[in-house]
Amino acid sequence: MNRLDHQLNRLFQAAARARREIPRGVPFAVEAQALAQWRGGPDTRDDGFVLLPLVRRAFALACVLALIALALSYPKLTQHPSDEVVIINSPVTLSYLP
Amino acid sequence: MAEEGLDVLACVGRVRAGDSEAARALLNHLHPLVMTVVRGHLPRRASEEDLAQMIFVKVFTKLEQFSGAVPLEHWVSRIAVNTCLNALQAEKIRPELRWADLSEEEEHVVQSLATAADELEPGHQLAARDLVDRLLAHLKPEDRLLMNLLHLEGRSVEEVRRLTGWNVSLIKVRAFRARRKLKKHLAMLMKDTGK
Repeated sequence: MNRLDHQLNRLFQAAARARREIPRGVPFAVEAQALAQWRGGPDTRDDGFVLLPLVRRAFALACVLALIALALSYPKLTQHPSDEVVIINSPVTLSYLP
Repeated sequence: MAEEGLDVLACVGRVRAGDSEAARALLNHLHPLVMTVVRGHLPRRASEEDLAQMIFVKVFTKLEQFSGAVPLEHWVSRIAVNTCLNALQAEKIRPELRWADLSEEEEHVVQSLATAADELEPGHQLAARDLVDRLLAHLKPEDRLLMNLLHLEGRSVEEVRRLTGWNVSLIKVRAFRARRKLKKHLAMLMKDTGK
């Protein structure tokens, strides 16, 4: 054991012997708050975490619905537009040309 | 003050049944234990009363989960240690400790460590404790907790394992690294004594 180890041990030993008095009896505020929470029933501070699985399920459902909608509209998105639509769209298409 | 001769398991049963007097008795019984843990692992800016209250609220609201497989005191200690660890994690690690940061008594402690080889005087114990707290403030919360448990509370590795849930190798590696950091900071202070 080197010198620094020895010094650290001596410091720890002295610190461990330092006793700070623990107050006798439970402070009123601590007792009142703890008992009030206990009487109030199970811990309700984690409400956010209770809602989290619900939010996750809703998000998953929304994703599934979006995929179904995309799959159903896929044929329409890929089919070639009819001649009427091409004629109507032609001014717009031409305006994009340089 | 601890309730002498309290039948803890019977008391827990009565608390579960909604007996307020039993709850008060249990609170009084556990108070010294909780305060000892809180005193040992209190973050710098936290109030010990607030932390104790937080622990008691957790203990009472989770009392239904207490199976009785381990003594109630162990179960409560674990909750207390974890609550303190969470509080410590919210605290930032302090920058470098300098000689100028020390109080006069703490300077005496460092000088005694540097110049003499025997035990520190009993009058220096509180200052030594304050100095250790300052040094521990430079460690990560887990390391700080571990140094407290091993060196200030004098707990064994097995007890630490039970309280924290960490495995023995992790505890040993963490303790080694934490001691190395503490020695580095102490060495810097020792160097400053010569200035």
